[in-house]
Amino acid sequence: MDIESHPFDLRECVESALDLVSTRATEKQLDIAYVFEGDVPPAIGTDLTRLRQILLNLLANAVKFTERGEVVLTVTSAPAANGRVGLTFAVRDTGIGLSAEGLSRLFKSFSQADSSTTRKYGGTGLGLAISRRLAELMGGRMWAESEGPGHGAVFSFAIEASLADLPTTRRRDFVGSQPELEGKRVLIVDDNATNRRILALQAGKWGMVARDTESPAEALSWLSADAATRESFDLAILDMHMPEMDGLELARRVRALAPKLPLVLFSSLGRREAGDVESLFNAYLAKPLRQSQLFDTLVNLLAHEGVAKPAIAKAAAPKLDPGMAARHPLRILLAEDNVVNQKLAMRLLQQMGYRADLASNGIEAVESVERQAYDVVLMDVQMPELDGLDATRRIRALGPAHEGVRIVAMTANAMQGDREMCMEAGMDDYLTKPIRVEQLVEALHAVTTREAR
Amino acid sequence: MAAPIIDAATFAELQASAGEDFVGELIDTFFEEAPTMLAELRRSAAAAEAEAFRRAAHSLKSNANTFGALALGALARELELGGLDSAKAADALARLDEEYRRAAAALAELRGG
Repeated sequence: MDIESHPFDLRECVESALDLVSTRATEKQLDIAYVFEGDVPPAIGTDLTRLRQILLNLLANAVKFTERGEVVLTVTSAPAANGRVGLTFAVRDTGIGLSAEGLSRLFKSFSQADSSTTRKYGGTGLGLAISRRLAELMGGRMWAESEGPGHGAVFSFAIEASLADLPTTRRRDFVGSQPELEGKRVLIVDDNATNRRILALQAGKWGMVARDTESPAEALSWLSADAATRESFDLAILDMHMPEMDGLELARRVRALAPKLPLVLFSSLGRREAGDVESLFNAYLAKPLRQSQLFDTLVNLLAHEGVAKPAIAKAAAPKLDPGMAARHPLRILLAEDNVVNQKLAMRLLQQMGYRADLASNGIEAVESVERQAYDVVLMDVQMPELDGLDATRRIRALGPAHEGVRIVAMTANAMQGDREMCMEAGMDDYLTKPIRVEQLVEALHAVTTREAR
Repeated sequence: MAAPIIDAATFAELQASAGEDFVGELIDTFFEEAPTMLAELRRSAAAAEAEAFRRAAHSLKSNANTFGALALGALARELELGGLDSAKAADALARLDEEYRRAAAALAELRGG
């Protein structure tokens, strides 16, 4: 495997990896976030593509194996020899966790897999063994920790990189106090401690004064005290999902106390999905939080307070039956390396009400099927690291516990003999790309649901 | 007759099934990914890496056909099937670049409209 080195913006790298898993995290109502602890350098020199692949692999796994709670990526740095910098990336989840035996086996599977294959394009991921190998090639290592099944897991890796300067044209200077924000008081209400911390930390770095609480009631008490003790704020950021009171209800009550206070909803949902028909909020912040988006939102609102109203989102025109998943529930794994194809397939499935997990190559597909039961795998045939045919053979060799899973080939080849090749490898059905909706619906209908089995 | 730059029926069907706004986003994703694939074709051709070359051509073909960029898809398919030998033809990759530019311009217009 070849490792390149070129300078890049570390935040952009991290955010682009998070972007690729955020849709799935949103569907599962997971909180997803990242935090740079301490003085992490804004630009480093190493292999951007490889680093993003490792991050994506760990993030996608964390989202895949977590049903509720959060996935948080923490980045820390420390000086290394020869003026270089050591970076540690830790992906913590609140998911199914791992036993001691599971931990010891983690990196072993597929260590023989052909890792000399090509560098992939875009945001595709890798199996764990390859990810660990890449971390080693980048001067570091990878390890996993878990308190046991049900207690979540932390996958970490360390690499060494050179320090770099970004071209000034591409750099936006978010470091240090910002004149537009300095001294402004922001109220943060979120039941998730990680989110509170990230928001407060970032606002503080920009010179703002942050007050945060997990309790909507406490926030309201700060706003409603007598004139002498009442706190004044320039802006409030409210989380949508809180046990005590949701973001909309809290916004209504805040509006009654402070009609002009600009309100920002922090949610994985857009305005329409959040049900903000009253236009209570002046802006929306998506999860995972992007530093640049937070900055733009704060500056925009504080520069023209209370003016900005969110634009009404343009309605899409779904033609698919959104109730299909409710009538015919399936656990779906999409194994596909190409980003355009990933997004399109996820979109079509989502319009039928399905939430699919994603594997970016054959190795990830096999690892996912091993760890979790699926009704159907939509398997791209042409994938790097391990193609769909070999992945199918390995899944079929896993043994009786995994026999029920149906495997549907997806291929852009449509050449004679292709179908036969897929069936011989152990697949059950065959779709040609570009995926046609009717074909996909038919293939999903052909899958027996678990209850019926 | 040569394949169209963008096949209107394929594009319309994509919009109808996935939604116009989403297709706009998908085009943006394609614009981000395609230059990497074109660069990978040149790199792997220069390094004589047959498998990498074939895979990049395959990905480009697949994505082009998704948007109905049939002329681009057909060129990419020729490279996929022909392998490294087809890249040796004097202007094969230049023709592909040119066709990508035409398809990208047409897609940018469709998205805007």
